[in-house]
Order: sequence, then structure tokens, then C-alpha cells
Amino acid sequence: MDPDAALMLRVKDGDLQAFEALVQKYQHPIVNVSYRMLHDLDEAEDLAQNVFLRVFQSAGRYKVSAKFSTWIFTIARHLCLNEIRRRGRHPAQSLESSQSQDPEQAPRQYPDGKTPSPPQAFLHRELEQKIQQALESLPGKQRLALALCQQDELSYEQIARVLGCSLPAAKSLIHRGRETLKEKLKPYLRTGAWEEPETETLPAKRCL
Amino acid sequence: MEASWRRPLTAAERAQLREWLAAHPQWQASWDQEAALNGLLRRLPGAAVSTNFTARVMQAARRLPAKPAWRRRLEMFPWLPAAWVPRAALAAAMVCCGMFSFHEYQSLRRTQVAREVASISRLAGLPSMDWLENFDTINRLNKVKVADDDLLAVLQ
Repeated sequence: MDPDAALMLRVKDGDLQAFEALVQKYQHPIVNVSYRMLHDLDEAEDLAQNVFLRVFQSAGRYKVSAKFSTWIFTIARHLCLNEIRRRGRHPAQSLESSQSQDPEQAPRQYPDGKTPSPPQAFLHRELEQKIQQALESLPGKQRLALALCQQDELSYEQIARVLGCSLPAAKSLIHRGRETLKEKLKPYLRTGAWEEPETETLPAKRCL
Repeated sequence: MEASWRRPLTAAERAQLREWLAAHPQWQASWDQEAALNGLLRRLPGAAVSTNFTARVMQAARRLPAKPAWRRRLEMFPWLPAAWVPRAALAAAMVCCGMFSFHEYQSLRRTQVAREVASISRLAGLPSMDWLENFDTINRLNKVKVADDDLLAVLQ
């Protein structure tokens, strides 16, 4: 049996320690996927917290019909897409738009809490911003497919189940998302600065 | 190529890819773009989760209200959608109220009709059968215009 499913069955019996173990194991992947979808860390953590509370509330009806990771990411998917739809109906006002329209008035300054960085780190941050912007321009399902693709916990079959589509459809979503990103990030792809180092062994897992 | 979406290629996979690209040089540019995008996506930093995230989730879980007993019993029947049980109960109660009201209305109507019939029957009481004994005679008397010799003979 899936060890996470076994933990979930213990949660069903009221074992809070089992629930805590699941939270600790899945907090990073769930927050990462939420962050990729919402691009706001506080909201991503709030959404991830709601995901875990839903898991806890549904424990009484839990049945081992699929891997636990598929189930929890499916809950995350529903909440992420609901939040994106809600944002579409009630768009948040950007801080930049709250600046005065008077051209003579200096734009509002926001203090930079971080320590000064070398130019290389600045360029990296700018590139990360560009990648984030390109990701945000993708339709919700493609963005989610790409975010799930970066999670080592999920196979392609599981990604398809989380997305609620067939395996070819899931791969098609990932492929179309990547094609769009390649188009939007073309200038940065040409630099070659992000080539992968050639190594004998697989590098350590990195959460995306 | 799909393997490269999720992880860096192993040495064996890279060697296989190099051979294939050597045989199909028209795909080199496409692969370069794929590899560059893989590198960009892998270098995106992950979200920094708060150190007290687990504690906050556990605190919120402990604060959740305990499910009522009827809801816990319903979980024994997972095929029954729990959210619909209160609605179904309310609908059943409304149907019962409706049927009871209709039954009461029917009963009231029957009582009213029975009272009306009783009051009419008191007003329009049937006469006794005795006066019908000479009914024919009286009826003929009304119709007589000339002297009825037979009747006169009987009356005499």
C-alpha cells in the first residue's frame, strides 16, 4: 500500500500525528504549485493551508482508490483554479496604479529590504521575473500542467488524473505551455547562460 | 525529450541524443531551445515556505468544529452525498406539510358540505304520504271545465 495512503487511513481514525507527517511531507510541493499558479507567497500558503484542512475534513470519507499524492494535488488544483477564477471576477488593484497621476509628483518609492546584490544576482532576479511573467500569461490549465510536471512526486499518469484529462491531453498541455514559453523567452534562450551542466549522476531534487 | 522535461538527462541518454542529433541535424536548433528552457525552469527558485507553516495548519485543524453525530454516521455510507441529506429532509418535510394541509382542506370541505345539506333538508321537509291518497281526484278537479257526470255521480 502507498505509505501516504496508510498515513491517511490513520488520520481517518483520528491520528493527528499522521496528519502532521503528511503536512510536513507535502507542504513544499503544494506551496510550490500554488505559488506557480498565484505568484503570491502569502496567498500560496493560505491556499496550501486550505488544501490540508480539506484533506483533514475529508478524512472520514477517504478511500484508497488512488495514490494519496494524486488526491491531494487534485484538491490543490480545484482551489488554485477557483482562486484564479475569483481573481478574474474581482481583480486586485496593483500598487503601481495607486500612484498619483500627476507627472510632476515623484513616483512612490518602496524601500528595498534586501541587502544590495552584485549585478549578476540582479540579472538573475530580472530573468526570474521574466520567466514568472511568461508563466502567468499561460492559460490556467497549461500553467498548472507545467507546475505539476516539475513535481517529482507525480508521474505523467498521475498528472493526467490530477488535471482530469487523458495522458496524451496532459502531455499536450505541457507541450503547448512550453512552446508558448519558448516563444516569450526567446531572447533569453539564445544567451546560452542557462545550459545544463553535463554530469554523470542526476542532480539533487529541486522544488519548482 | 519528455524525460528532459522532468530531470536532467543521464550520460547514457545524452550520448543517445547526440547520436540521434548527428543523424538528424535539422532538429539541433529545436533541441537547443528545449534544453535552454529546461535550464531556465529548473533554476526558478522554489517558494520559501514559512517555518511555522505546519504549526499553523495543525492549529487550524484542531480548531475545526467537530462533526455532528449524524454527519459522522453518514460517513458509513460514502455513496450518499452528505450535503444533500438536509435538503432532502427539508423537501420531504415540505411535501408532508403539503399533503397534510390538503387532507385537512378536503376534510373541512366535506364537513361544510354535510352541514349545508343538513340545513337544506330541515327547510324542505317532505310532506306525509296521506294527502297523496286523493291526489288523482284533486288533480282531475283542476282540469275539469265542463261538468263531469261520472264525478258528480260518485260524489252523490
